[in-house]
Amino acid sequence: MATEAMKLLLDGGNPLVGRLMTYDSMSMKFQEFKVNRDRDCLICGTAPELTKLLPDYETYADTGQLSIP
Amino acid sequence: MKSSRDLIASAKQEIPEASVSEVKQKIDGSDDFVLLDIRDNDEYRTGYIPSAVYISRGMLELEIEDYVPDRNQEIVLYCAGGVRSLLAAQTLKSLGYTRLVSMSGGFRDWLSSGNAVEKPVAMTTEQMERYSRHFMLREIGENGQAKLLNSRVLLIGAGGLGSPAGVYLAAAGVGTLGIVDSDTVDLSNLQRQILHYTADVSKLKVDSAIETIQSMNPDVNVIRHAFRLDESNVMDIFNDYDVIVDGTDNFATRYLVNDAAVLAKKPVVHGSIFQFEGQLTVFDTNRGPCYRCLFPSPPPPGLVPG
Repeated sequence: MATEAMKLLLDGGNPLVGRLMTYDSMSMKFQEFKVNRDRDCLICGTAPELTKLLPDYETYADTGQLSIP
Repeated sequence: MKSSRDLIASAKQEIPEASVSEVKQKIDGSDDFVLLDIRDNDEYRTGYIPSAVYISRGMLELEIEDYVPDRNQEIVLYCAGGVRSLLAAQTLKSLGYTRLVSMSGGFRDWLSSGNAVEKPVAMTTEQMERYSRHFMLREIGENGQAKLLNSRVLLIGAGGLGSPAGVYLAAAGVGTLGIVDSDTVDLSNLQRQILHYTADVSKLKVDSAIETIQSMNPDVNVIRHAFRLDESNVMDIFNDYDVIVDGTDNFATRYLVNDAAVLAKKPVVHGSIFQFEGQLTVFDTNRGPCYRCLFPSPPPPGLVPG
């Protein structure tokens, strides 16, 4: 995490944007998955439904119910 | 035997020269060329031409390919007065570089023509030594270190993920580290949360983290956010930082962090861990997906560990 943060600060290398790296220390295997941008994403899609914060993230995480202000 | 005068005369025949005003025009016209400063380090430290790449003449042959891999890239070299840059250009020619120009009159003429100069950030002797291994890395160097010292990173959580990230960022000389955490240190945290020590048990994690970081690297200014991140404070806090490091352990905060970072257009380094498995990615909606693109909505309660 520190290395990725420093790469972002220095605008160097190839940061893990759009890539999810996973590792399993028991098998000592690293894997990388491509993560695409979702056009229909609630907050960063082309027509986002969320344009400000939700009023209550605790309830949202517990229920999954969106109450868009 | 050849004298230095002969050497310079032969370099002058081989290498075309450009005056300061011609070079200035190329810079202003955004021409595609590399401006290369080959002076000694103590000369470079007094100031350099903005946009110049710096390789001291002593390291030139060894490092030029890292900076300029394309042998057909145009390179304009300068030194203090325009002589060493001629000789250095000759050396690059023998390495196969084809489009070399030496700036006549050098940095002295650049200064006397009243042109703009940049200075590397002044560091103390102690800083020069502390970060000397960073200076050896082309990707960081003195300018990169100065950037780090002027950077602001927000750590969300000073626990299992925030601790190692915080330790390394502090040691590396990230100048400002904000830490958000409302918890206190528990003895059972210590086997992994390396920002905290035995004597810190029952202290606030932010306070314990501040002590550890300040004794590790006094260059780091730690900002204390000893409360839970929530809907009312997150935007104000995020606006003060360049990069967010998300080491939270619950979904409410992860969605909060994501939504706030997307709205504030801040990049998030996201980590999570469970037992022996870890995940790492960077969310930056200026150029890639966000946490919601990967996980559109929270999992049903109890199904997944935080």
